[in-house]
Amino acid sequence: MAMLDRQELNKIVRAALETSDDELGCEDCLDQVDSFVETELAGLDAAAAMPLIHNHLQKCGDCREEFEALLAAVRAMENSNGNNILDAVRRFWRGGRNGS
Amino acid sequence: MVRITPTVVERTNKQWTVALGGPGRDEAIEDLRALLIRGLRSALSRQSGVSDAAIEDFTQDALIKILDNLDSFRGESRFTTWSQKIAVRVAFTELRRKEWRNVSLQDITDRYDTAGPEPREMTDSQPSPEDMATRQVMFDTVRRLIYEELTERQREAIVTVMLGGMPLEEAARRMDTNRNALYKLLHDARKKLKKRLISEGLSAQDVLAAFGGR
Repeated sequence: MAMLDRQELNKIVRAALETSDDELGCEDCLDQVDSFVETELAGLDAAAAMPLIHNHLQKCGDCREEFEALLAAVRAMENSNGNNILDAVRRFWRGGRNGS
Repeated sequence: MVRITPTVVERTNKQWTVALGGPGRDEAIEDLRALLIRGLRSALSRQSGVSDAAIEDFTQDALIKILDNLDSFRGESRFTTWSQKIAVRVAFTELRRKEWRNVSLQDITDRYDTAGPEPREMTDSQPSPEDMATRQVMFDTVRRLIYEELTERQREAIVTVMLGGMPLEEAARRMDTNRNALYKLLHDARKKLKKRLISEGLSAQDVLAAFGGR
């Protein structure tokens, strides 16, 4: 068993110092990540529109991996079906969501 | 290999949910299956060793979940995006389980000791004696805080996920909890450490300067 070295302590300390009080959990992220993906694909600033989701994706490797995969998947469906994602995103914003 | 991709009828969200619950159900399910397979092929293209058969299995499992949860679709994204989100989750759950199936929590926690007396110094540069002393004080302090502030379970989670790289979902399964609860456990641990670092008079700047670059 090895004692924690500098790099390992560094990783823990940095993660602690970057912690916010109001971080979302994985369930909240999962709940909204499809809207985040569509906002991103519409060329809008998803991070600014949904900052808590963006923050969670920065900190959670599992959710980030699934977000990136979903982005690729929706892009592939989009390319093959020729749907206009902007229409969907406009509907989302007209619905009055403020993103967080 | 050339794949023939079937043409899928475009539907609005309402048309999807009505079709999946009504007489056009079989056709709608086949259309959704085709879309999910297409999406998953792209989503998993960077994962090694994912066969077409595996993608079809993930899709089948996802379809069952989607049909069971139609009532929870709130229309905040397109139905196909929402469905694909479920398919991605199903696929990664299985891929992670498979990738980590031979690694136990103990394999990882045995590699790290969070209760020993002092960390070892890395000689990756030649700091001055003062810098060395400052670093050592900082190491000792951080190490003490990790030991004093965190519960054994929080230390186990930090070591397993942050240092050992095990996905949250897999670590949660082994720790008899779920991914959301494990994230919250780690969040609480990070908050406690941050608070103690600050109350010990260590600013972010001090600590990061002592620990050097990323």
